[in-house]
Amino acid sequence: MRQASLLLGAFLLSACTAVSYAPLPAQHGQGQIFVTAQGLQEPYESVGIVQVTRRGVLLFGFADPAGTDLQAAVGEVEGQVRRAGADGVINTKVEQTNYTTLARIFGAIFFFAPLPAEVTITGELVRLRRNASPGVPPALPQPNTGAPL
Amino acid sequence: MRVPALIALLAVLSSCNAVVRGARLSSVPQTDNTMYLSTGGTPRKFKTIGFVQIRGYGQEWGGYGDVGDAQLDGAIHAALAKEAARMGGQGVINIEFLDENPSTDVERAQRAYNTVTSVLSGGARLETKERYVTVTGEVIVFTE
Repeated sequence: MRQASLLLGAFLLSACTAVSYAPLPAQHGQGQIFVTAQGLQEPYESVGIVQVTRRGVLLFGFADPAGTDLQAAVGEVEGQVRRAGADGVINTKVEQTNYTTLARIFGAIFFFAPLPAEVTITGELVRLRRNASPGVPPALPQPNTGAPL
Repeated sequence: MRVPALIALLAVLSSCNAVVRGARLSSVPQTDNTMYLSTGGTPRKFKTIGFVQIRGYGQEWGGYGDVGDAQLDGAIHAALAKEAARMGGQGVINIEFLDENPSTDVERAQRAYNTVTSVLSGGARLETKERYVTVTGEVIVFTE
């Protein structure tokens, strides 16, 4: 009876908000790799698009041995930026499995069924065109006339 | 008993990482006169003429063979651009893309291994996985 009350108390006291965060690398003004959810106001060259997905399980509701948190995913994105010879990633979007404390407690109780966890970051790899000026854009592409591409 | 436990532990601890890369989109300012494609906006004035969503479906065979239209490049540079052109658009901005279920290296290797062992034992069972990519964008025409 006392254990049930304790469990109920833990459920009631546990917050219903799940929070996760990841510190970002230095901004591009410092000549470092940058990761931003916005676009750029200065000229850039697109290098490609990238999607990083990390997938694993939460053991006992809280242990994350495979690293499915935002920090790990941002670290992997930085690696992709370096490999592609880019300066940073713009217009990033994040999707992450986020369990509330209550769900994690359930995960700890039912430890034999680990909670699946996944984080995905998408974005566009870009290289800054430091010598370029915004200038006048080239001629407009003509609207399609129905011909196949 | 000890070996399966060790394998399970390694599987849990291994980095289950899937990275998908795609070809480049348009640069800013645009340096060619092809369809303008961007995950963000555009510095030029434009008018929105509609929205497009593409869902590509495909299958992964034996861990490494991709069949169908579940590739980001194909969905963006072929299907999305083609639909935008059909609508009379000159560009697609605010492109959002998601490879819904990319395979990690461990998963690919496991499916390849299962396929090979099945073939070698005379079963000829090809391990497949359904794949989906979704791409959405805002179709525009430039007004200046």
